[in-house]
Amino acid sequence: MATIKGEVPKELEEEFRKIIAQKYGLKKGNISLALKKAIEEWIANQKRILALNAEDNSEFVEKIRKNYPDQFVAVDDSLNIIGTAKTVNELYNEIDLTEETRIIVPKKIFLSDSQGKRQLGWNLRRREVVS
Amino acid sequence: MKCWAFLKSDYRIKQFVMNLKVFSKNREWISYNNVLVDTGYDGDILIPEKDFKENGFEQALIIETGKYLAETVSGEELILSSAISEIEINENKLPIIIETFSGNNSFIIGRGILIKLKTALDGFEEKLCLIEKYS
Repeated sequence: MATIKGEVPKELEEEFRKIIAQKYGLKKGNISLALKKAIEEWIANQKRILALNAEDNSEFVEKIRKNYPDQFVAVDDSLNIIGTAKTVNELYNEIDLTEETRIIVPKKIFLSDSQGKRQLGWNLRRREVVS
Repeated sequence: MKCWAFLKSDYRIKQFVMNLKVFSKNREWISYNNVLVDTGYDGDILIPEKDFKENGFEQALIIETGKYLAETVSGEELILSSAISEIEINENKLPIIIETFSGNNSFIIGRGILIKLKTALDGFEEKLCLIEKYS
């Protein structure tokens, strides 16, 4: 076993301990158990993100968008074209879409920025301070 | 001109909402009422993970799916699933990208939809109005 030393905000530490107590009880070793799970989840998530960033098919996508303007193009997992459609209805009706297929949509529909990130909102809620 | 009254609740300041229909992968129009309009979300529509799966959107994923991360106000990064669909808002039909992430329970309309429509927020009358049709 190894020891990791680091600092976290007090409120985070308190909430962490509170949830561990609620979920597992106040038994010795439960903090280490929760810490291990949290680190494992963080590592798995970061690995997924790194793997996604490594896969770059943007050149292929741009080429398809140029060759099939204003059309929906469905491709299989090897990026072979399996069908094209002019509308969503036609796409759903006439092409055998599965969880493995992917759709290249016209640029005007998929508005993206260069950062690869979606802003999820300023959904901040005011709450009364409880002392 | 179609308008929707602000949604009032006990714990939040009045929120602006719209009613819409979403075309599912199962080729059904699903109605949703009082969907929150959130100008802080820069996508089209975010739906609960459960609805995303039930309506077959896992079989309509766009090629960028999984390449986009959603960043919350606290900086947390979540991997998004993105699918192509169509919505109908007061007889306006438009193709959109529908998104979700693991564990999501929120249903919101983002700026991606607002920039395709002409809308007005009328604070005095407490309503959000659709001024012009999508063309």
